[in-house]
Amino acid sequence: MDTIIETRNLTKKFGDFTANRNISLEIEEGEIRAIIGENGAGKSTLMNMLYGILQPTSGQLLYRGREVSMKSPKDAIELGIGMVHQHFKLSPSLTVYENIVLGAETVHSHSAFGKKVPGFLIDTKKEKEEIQALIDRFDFNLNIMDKVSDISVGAKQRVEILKMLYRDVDLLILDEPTAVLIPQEVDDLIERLIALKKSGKTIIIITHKLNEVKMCADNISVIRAGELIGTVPNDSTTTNESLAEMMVGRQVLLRVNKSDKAAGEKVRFAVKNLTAVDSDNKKILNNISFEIHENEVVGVAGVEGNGQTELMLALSGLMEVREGRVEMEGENICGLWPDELRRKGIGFIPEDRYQQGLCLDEKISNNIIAGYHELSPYCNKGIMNYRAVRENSRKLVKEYDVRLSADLDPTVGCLSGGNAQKVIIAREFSRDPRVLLVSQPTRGVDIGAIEFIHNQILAMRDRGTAIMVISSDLSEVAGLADRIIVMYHGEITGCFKADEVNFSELGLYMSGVKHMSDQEIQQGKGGGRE
Amino acid sequence: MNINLILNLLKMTVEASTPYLLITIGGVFVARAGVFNISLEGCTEFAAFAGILFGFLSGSILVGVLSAFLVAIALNIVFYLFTVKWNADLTVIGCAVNLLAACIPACLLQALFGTRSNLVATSLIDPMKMKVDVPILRSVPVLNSIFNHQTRITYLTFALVIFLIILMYRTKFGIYVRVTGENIGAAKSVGVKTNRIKLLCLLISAVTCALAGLNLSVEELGIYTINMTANRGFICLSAINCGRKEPHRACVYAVIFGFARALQTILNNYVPVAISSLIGILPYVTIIVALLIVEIPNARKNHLRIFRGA
Repeated sequence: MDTIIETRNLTKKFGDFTANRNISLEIEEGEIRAIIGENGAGKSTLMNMLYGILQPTSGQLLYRGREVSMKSPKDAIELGIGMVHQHFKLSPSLTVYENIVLGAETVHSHSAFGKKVPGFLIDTKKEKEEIQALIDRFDFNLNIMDKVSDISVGAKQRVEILKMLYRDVDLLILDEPTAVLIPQEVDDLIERLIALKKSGKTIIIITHKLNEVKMCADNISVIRAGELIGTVPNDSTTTNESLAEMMVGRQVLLRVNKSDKAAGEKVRFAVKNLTAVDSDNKKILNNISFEIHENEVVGVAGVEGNGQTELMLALSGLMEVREGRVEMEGENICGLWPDELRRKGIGFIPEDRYQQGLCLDEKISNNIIAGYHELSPYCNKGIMNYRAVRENSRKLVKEYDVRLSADLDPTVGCLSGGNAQKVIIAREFSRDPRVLLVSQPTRGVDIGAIEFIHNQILAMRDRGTAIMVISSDLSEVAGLADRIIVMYHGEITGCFKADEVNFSELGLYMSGVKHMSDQEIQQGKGGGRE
Repeated sequence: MNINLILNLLKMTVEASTPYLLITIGGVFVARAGVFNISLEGCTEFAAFAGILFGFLSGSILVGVLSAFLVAIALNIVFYLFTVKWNADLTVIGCAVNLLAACIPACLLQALFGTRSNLVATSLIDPMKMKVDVPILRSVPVLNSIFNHQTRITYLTFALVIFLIILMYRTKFGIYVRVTGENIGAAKSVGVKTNRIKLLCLLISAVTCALAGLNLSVEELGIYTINMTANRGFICLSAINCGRKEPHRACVYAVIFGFARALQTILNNYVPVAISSLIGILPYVTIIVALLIVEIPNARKNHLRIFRGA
């Protein structure tokens, strides 16, 4: 086998920060290569250099044995390198075929003076035929005339892959391709990738999900802190544990250690028939009902965009609710504003920590009391007591292991994702809430911090707090929760005991294939307590 | 009601809609490419001024027309450099252009001609001769009274609107403009040069603004007066907004605003002076009403809570 792409001592610096240091990597034609590493390890930087989005500070890049320098993705595509980004680069208002041909449209050609002259208007008929043929050839199950805004996430990803196949690339790079897919779609994708490999394409897949790597990769390269740690073949000697150790540099617990303490009997937080509508008057939350007991974590699973965001907004008092009640220990708290909810003893960890959780330009000490700033001792008759604020901050930063460099009270914008999340956790957990509503607690957070955050959440549970955890990461939901509810199109489609759940079964409910009756969901509710 | 009066109103509507249509259709491209450009107003004002000033100084209408285009294009290139290339704030730069347009003409008029109100070039330009007689229309009764004897730029506007709508929806360039505004990452990832797309959109808008300015000063009056654009640029911004950045819809709103302007002009002849200045607000009231009609349902749709009511 020939080497299709090779890097020699590739280095990328952003100012003083070295994102990639001396990376030398060889990828064989026709293999599936997985590149794994923690968030922020430099995987994406490396791939962006292979795709011409970033240019290396030093080092060489060889494609099929020839040194190349790519100024833009266009150069990469011309060489035969294509990339599917984690956040899809699609235009929602255009149709499937328009998105696929984007940038490489076919125009009518006219003959004038005996020569072919490219015309002005797009030849939509020819384009449609070509794309239909392409879809049929790879069996991609798409309708070319659908608008991209109306199709599922899995279908959008297929559009992205086709976009690259239409450009006839030989090397396909996929950045975190499974992050947004349900388990069935993941299986489907992996089958497609293996089929593409058989048809002669080379595939690089960037991910931090070890199971999927084990399922499809031929070789696995591990990157940690900007450096290539090593490349191992995917065989029986390579285990998830050994890979994780290579990624983190120390042994990690891949499973969360849950205590045996059973969930309580008393219902502390209850949502009853909650319904909310979006801007088109469509029901975005449809008759949602569930209860959380003392000492219990309820996990909310589902593909993103099925109402989880809105559920969190509605429960934190940031969105109007059309119908239904939210009860805390029997008292209706639906329609209260966030500060009132906080005073009732509810803590929030919002989905987007930078939009709703923190003020980036403010210091840690101010962020760590945000929402409680009008309380004593931080504030006395409207005058802030910054000494108390700072003292509180110093204490919590230590207690919750927020890692700081020289500056002891920097603005939150300077912190890494994991440390920023710890600031929010410190703020919410230190108030000892009776109910805790958590959304995407570990998104964009490194493995070490994930372990810490999970342990903190479970410690809160054991102290009696009723907790809801929304996450798009199924293994996170399953690891933390006592009970799992599944959301699909704004409804609850299923309810499971966490220790009995099987992922492919969950996937059927997440994709709306299966739907429990109300009674079954009710019975599932009893689950966590037995 | 007198049939002639209605025909006259419609004819005036066509006449008054011309600058609105021009500024709107060019502005739609800029807006669609994701650049919020509030300097349409200033650009039009500069073109109107340049057309008369250089025409008057050189004694040639053609020189005036060419310099109006050059000034508008130069202005939008500067706008491009500051906002797109160097990432300056769109509103600040747009505001700066509008402020310049409010003071540079007055300053130059004072320096060159010792007046601060207007520059009359009727010695060079006879507005009556600017109207074109289209023989084919003569035999068609109603259309003749409405569409015949309009200016060249008015006829050009009809062609331009159709051409630009086709450009937006049926060509590569149009698709790139739409994608650039909707998801700039998508455009970049397939090698579309988004900065160039934005520049081209700004150039289109420069040309249409220049035509609008020329229509106002050179074609209609042969006179430049201070603040001649009279907020048409801002009115067109709301036409673009009301039409949700779609060229055909935005053009419908542009014509509605043109109709309001024509109505105001006609009504002026029938009311006492005191009231006529009150009627002057008619085009602006139309905007507010149109914006309310379009935006209230949008505001109602928002279910996110931002402010706590009483």
